[in-house]
Amino acid sequence: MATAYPGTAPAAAGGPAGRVVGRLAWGLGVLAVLLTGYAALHGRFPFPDVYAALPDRYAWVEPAALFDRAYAWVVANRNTSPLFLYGFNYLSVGLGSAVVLINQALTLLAWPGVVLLGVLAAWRVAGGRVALLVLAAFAVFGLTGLWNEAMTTLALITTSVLIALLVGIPIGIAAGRSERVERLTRPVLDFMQIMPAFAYLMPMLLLFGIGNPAAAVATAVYAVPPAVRITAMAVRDVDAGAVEATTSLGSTPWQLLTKVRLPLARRTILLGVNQTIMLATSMVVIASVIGAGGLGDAVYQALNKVDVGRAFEAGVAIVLMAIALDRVTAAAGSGGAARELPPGPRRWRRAVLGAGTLLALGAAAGRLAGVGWLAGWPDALTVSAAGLVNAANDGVQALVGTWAAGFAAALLAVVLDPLRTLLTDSPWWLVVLAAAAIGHALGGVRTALVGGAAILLTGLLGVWEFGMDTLSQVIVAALVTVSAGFVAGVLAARSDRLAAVLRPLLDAMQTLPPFVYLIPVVALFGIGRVPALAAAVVYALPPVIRLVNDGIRGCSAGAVEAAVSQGSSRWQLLTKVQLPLARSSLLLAVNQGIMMVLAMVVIGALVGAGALGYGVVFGMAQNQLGLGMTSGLAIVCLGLLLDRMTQSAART
Amino acid sequence: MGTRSARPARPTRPAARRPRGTGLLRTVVLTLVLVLATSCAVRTTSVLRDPDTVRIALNAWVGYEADAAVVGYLLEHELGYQVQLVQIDEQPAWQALDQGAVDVILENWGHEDLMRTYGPEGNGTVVDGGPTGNVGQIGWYLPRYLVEEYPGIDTPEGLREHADVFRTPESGDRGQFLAGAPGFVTSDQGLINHFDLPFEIVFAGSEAAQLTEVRNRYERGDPVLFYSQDPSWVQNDLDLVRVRFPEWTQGCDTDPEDVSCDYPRYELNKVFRAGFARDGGAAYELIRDWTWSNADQNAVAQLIADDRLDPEDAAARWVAEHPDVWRPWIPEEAR
Amino acid sequence: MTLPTAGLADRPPTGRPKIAVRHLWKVFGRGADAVVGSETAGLDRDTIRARTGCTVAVRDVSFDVLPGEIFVVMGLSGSGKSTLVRCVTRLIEPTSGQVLLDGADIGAAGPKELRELRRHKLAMVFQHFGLLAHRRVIDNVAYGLEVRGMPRPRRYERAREMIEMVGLAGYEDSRPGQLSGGMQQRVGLARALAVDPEVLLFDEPFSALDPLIRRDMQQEVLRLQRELRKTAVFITHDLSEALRLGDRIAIMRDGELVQAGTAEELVGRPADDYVRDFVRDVARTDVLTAGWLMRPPRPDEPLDGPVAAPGTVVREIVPMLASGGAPVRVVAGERLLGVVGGADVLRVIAEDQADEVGRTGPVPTAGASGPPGAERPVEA
Repeated sequence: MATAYPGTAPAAAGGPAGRVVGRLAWGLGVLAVLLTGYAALHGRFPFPDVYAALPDRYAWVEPAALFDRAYAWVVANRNTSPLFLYGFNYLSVGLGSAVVLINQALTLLAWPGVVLLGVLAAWRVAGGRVALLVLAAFAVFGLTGLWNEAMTTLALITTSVLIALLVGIPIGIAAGRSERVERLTRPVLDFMQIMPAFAYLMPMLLLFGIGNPAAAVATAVYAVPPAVRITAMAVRDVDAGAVEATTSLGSTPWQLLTKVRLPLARRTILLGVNQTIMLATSMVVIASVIGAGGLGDAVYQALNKVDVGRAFEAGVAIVLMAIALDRVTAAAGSGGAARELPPGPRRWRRAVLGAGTLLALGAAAGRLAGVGWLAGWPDALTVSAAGLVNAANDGVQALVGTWAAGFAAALLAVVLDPLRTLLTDSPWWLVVLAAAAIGHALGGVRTALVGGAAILLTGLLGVWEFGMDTLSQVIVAALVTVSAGFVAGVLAARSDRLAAVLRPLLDAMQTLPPFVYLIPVVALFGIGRVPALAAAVVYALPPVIRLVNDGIRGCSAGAVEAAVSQGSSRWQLLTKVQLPLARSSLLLAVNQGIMMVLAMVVIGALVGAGALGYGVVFGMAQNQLGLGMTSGLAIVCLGLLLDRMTQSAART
Repeated sequence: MGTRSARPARPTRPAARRPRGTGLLRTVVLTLVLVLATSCAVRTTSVLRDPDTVRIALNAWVGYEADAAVVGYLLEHELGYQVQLVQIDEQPAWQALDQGAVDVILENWGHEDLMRTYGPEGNGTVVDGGPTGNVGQIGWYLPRYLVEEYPGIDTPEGLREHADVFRTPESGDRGQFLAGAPGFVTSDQGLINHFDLPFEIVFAGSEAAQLTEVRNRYERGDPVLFYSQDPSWVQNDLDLVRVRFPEWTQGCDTDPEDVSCDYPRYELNKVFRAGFARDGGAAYELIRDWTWSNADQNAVAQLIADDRLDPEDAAARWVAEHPDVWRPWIPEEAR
Repeated sequence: MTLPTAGLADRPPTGRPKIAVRHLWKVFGRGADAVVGSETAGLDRDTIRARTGCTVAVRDVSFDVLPGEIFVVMGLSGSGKSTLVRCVTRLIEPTSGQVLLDGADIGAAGPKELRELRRHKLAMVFQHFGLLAHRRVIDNVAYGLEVRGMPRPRRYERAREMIEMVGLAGYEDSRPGQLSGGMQQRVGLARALAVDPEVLLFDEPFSALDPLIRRDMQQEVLRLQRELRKTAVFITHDLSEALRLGDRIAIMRDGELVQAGTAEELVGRPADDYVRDFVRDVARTDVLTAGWLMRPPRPDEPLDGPVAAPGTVVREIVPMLASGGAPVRVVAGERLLGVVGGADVLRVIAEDQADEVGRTGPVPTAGASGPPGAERPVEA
């Protein structure tokens, strides 16, 4: 048929095994050259201070100075410049007010009203089990004495998700409809996803004001990429036949969009909404650094008192909120339990919903009338697990503390320090060339150019040494994560029982704010790069394990059966059949692992990892936009480098 | 199998249902339009705010939290205000005052540069609120047991001599100086440069991480040298000695790369949003008149940090025990 | 039981064509416009692809479709037939050439006019149905009316009629996903008919269906055709389907139209080896008719043989001849058109036997099929 145009597929040179060996040899070669270069020339070619060499007329191009000047300008002109008077301030006031309004609505409903409405809504959308989960979440908010904080967080999540969707879905539709828009948005989204959230908290703060407005925008920015990506994908993947058929009946473009594309894409778009909510939830903790309040603030304040237990409680509240929101929105996406119910229950269901709503309104009325126990969750109704957690934490520390400290020292001396020295003290141009060479081996000329340019840009941003330090840490953390993740993933793929045990654990690891386990890792490993590495591994491990497990389990049963029938041992089956078949999942796992490690660079700085992450944190805390932004952008450069390399390795 | 009808159930009513979701969408859009349209004001100060709510910036150290807990408790229980604590770093807190996002910083350490930018000479959005009564001293601290082991180690010369004591894997062949949270005022590198100390600054990245490390080392009797300040609850908790650098004099610390003296003693002060100082009413007066001693602050801070009391409970306990201290802060008309 | 060979003999090609396709080209790829009319255009497909990177899907195709006839376009996959039918309603824009509907050039229509054409005059049925999974059957059928702006009660009324007509009464409120493939295509058919178009375009509508259901659907199309007398362009890759449905059949190969004509013309007088090869397996006895075989009676022949209509196929003439020596008289009304003798029939049978090897048997005849409702819906 004329609609299919088979492209000419280039014949792959050599088998996959040959390619791997070739790449390995190439990588070793690059390493050898780098080592030789280091031995001969170490310390002789630090990254030059290009901006000092420039004539004064051009000195202004130095990135850090540019940002610092922008910062000073904004501070001086915030309430006079039209850009702010008619632009950002408007947004900022609107957003700040939106959060306050939602929070007030939740307060007005009083806690029984919120619980009632929340549980009923969950029941209506997702059925009984999810309703119970939601009830449990509310109970934890109340029992831990974090009710108000949870409501503040909920208001913030709601506002930022709304912004993210209002912006993201239209852009997603446009990107799904037009190649060009897609091509334009992709790099922007990549940038947004690699840029550490901390790094853009500061400009947000500057543009939108401290507290809720900046927090809402920062959270929305963080959460918008999946809304755009998944919407675009959903719209693009709408059954072309249905579109063609309805076109042939004379639909206008608008009719096609509203009657065909969006309804057909609805489920997938809701998946995007779900992802957006999850990201927003994980961001609200970070947003507490700029005065967002709520549960994130509770975590943060507990940490300031080194109260691991209290931080853990607030962390669990966040995890529960995330899981509850996830289950409810996931059920909404899959059509929900509503449709399957026979007509009988439907009637009493409606009665229950009506009665519940009335009760909730009653609670609101009672609150207005000043009924005391409605004003806030009663203090008597709280319990605390903080002491228990603190005791457990102390116990673990007493048990493995010495061993862990020794391990940390060894890791520093044997791995982290040599690698850092190699990267920082080698001639800078040799490092750039090495990055390009590895890029070339993995993905050809383009990847080589991107890799070389990205690492060069780190230097041009003025943070070469920080950048190399961070790169060495990221490489080690990624290696640990990927190898541990592969082993765990393979084991989980072989044992259903292990997989079942791991699943909730991974869920919790992924949603628990990393702040919560910062103090325990410091207690174990001391201050420095090792605890940061440990935290990064904990954070990045779940997706790696998950992808490896899914990839191996997703192998064609037929191929596995055939291999077994030919007498493969379990090891042969794994190495010759399952791993090669799961290749794309495995490479995605590597990519995800690295990107997650990178996302922890800034958080690692909070426990002494230093380098770029510290630049971001310090810039933020000391109002040095220049340092904060250049460090943040350098992290983006490293992210780009690692992402492109692993992705092109997956493609070729 | 065969007994079950495979025919799809026919819905009982043919009437068309509106696709779900459009109603919700409409409501959401309408609400947003309303919100945006009604808030047509454009200055950052016009964000929706309750005049009965006092917004206190909350910096990250426990001493500050003690201030906020007690002041907040009195505002709520004696004057009937609502108090909102806004968690924020030291420097951005000034920005928050400037933007109108918070009303007051309770405990300010120095920051003359920020006062120039935002104060009466600059944006005019911020005013000095007078001293809190606390005197702050930043410095390099080490455990007393080290001084007993290495007499004279609490001087620049002693540190230079015994730098190897402080070596850690992280600091390599130099001694480790453990810096505090990134938001704090520091001239540590300047001190290291000036006194030619073979030390490497390791940035803990957060006060929490730093104090965890310090306490761990203290418990094990290991050497540790770190940035800290007084008042601070660790000072009560651990037996510490401050390194004796030459006394601060005007101008000795202007070059951050070369600092020849110790940190200055800070008369800690309050900083108000100019608007709050103008029309903050009784709340403003209470905070303006609030002053207390280092011992007062440490008492509350210790309840919070060591006894792990909820700040509000800690404040309640202190308030109950010290009426004579706080009575004078309450404005005349409210007494 | 006879094959429904409603040939041209029944409906002589009179009047203006409903659809006229003139020198239609469709070339995919960058710089497609430059290919048509240049020297390259004369080369074969692969050479053009190698030289320009462009793919010629439809090459200089012209044909007429007469009012009320079913015009079948047949070809193997990749022959450009689906592209061709999409060019008619401009789901794919032709590279050059014209498509005339009642003499007016569809290609000249602006976006709005084109929509009006699609809403009122042309309707299409698709291979993969193209139903809207989120809508009930009735809303799918009423879609064309809905986008026209017809108020709900009226369009539901019309949609119900159509659903009834295609035999799906009772399924108005089902979702497409709950129906079997055959039933889904009935929905597709009802949707196309609902707008009461002048021309129906079928793009391999039944090739995704099981053979038995396919036969039912073909019967359905013929029945509707008898009742509604729409003009239809029907794309298929199935020769038996083409023979069963087509008043006239066009054979496409590599984007070109090789031959167009009645089934008898294709079978009896293939234009080239490609067509000959194509129709080799067709039993001539099932396709060739008395009207095709007849010749003027020779003076010595007796004219008292049995009588047959021009549309009678050879298979049915054989028993008539067996009963006596006289040739069969082919008559229309009272008029004698010609005769068919034993020798004529034998020649046809001999040709069938000649390419016996690998023959697939007679074209399946439409057997008695149950009512459409008997199709079982897929299990949910």
